[in-house]
Amino acid sequence: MRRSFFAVVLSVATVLSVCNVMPTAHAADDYTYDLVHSSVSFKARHLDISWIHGRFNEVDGKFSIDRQDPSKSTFQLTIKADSVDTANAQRDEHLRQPDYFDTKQFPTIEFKSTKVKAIEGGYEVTGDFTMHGTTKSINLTLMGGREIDTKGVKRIGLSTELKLKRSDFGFDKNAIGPIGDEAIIIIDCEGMRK
Amino acid sequence: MPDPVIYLKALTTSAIVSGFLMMAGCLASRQVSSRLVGSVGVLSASVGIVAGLWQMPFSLPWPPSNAINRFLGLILPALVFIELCLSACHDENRISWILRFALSVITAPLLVYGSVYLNSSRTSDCWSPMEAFGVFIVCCGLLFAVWRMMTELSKRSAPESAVMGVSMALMAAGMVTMLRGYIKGGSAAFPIVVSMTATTSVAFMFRRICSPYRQRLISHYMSIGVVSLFCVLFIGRYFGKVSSSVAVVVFLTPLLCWGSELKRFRVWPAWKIMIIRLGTVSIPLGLVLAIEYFEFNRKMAPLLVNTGFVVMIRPSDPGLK
Repeated sequence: MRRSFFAVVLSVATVLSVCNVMPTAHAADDYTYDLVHSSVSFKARHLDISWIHGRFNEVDGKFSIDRQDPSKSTFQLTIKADSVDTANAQRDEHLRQPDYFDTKQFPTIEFKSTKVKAIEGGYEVTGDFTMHGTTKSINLTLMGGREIDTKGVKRIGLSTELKLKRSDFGFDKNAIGPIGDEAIIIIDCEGMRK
Repeated sequence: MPDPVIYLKALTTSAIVSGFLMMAGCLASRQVSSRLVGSVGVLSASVGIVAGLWQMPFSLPWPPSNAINRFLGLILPALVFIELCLSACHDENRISWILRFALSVITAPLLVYGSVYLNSSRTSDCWSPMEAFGVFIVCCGLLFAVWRMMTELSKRSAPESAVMGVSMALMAAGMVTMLRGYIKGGSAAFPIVVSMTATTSVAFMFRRICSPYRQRLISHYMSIGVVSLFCVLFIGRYFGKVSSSVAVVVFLTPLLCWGSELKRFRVWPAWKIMIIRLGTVSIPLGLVLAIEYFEFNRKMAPLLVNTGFVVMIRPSDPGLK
């Protein structure tokens, strides 16, 4: 009788301890954006004959990836619009002005995921993209997500490419000029955690 | 790049609408009451501005998200409303200046609302409370002082020239803002300039009808010019790349019209006073524009020249076939 009582107590304790451990095993991995090994760049048509390339030099972000339940994963990215760099200082100054990014009024470009789904080789992410004071829901296909360990730091890489129409985000259609309305944004980023 | 055809269409619309409304208003007020011309002046100038902006086309999202939209969507309508109310009153009294002072107080804070200057969490551009207070006090003081002095001047001889002085400064403010790279901000000034000029020209043509209320008529719609001048320069300075010195010089230039009030010139006929006023205003504005054009050629033009070259050799160009 006593032996079976101890067996029950022991099994209950085991179940409880496993239950306590389980959330830890399922906990999402939190990564911070590694600015050194990441880039957010863009290209837009010039006069509809060629491409102008540029990048944003100051970006911050964090991702939380739940491998057991990917729908609980989250992705956030904040781009400092002032850091636009097209390898031409005068053009960059012009792009910061209110006819384009209006960086004094809208200093950041932000993405915040609202829905994540695992797909073959990555994630399909739906989220709110805010640029120039306008927020729209967009879909991203983030490829990658494989984690490696280098010198005690765990890293993952994620890449995506998306097309946006500037006029959808409150940019003045009349100020679009020789630079095309559509811009392609290329995000290649590494996240790291200890 | 600004499209000259669109601009020409917009400005012609502004001129026709303002001129026609002012003319109709003057003729109608002769039948009803010549006191109405004050309201007619404000109405014709403001409807002309709306028509011009609509042709440009300026879209005004609600709520207004940036400074130029707040100027065109909030400050300008509030100003028109105040001036319409005041023009309906018998005499200009203390209340009129209290209302104008209230608008002077809120203009600068409204223009920078939600921007990096007032949001500490966003960037290092944020002003400290003392800095913000200082900027707002100086801006309010400057706007109110210029507004008061130009209104006072419009009650004296050749009042049309005071409006033209403000219009010239507003034109220069728009051009400077555009030359510094903020095309939309600068272009907002042009329909205002054209509407004011058209209203003034018609008021001058019908000066006999407007005669008892001519000075009041001009002072009311000149308010639109003074406040617009302030807003365009403020936006150009804090959201574009217009320098503080240029903004202050252009804003204070209409005050040079007061030169004609010196004892020596005061007795001169109205047309001579007009020439003195417009001459003194045009010299500093011309200098500022020349300097800004030189800067534009040095910094911005290379980008545009390259664009023009590519357009020239575009394969679809019929000249190449």
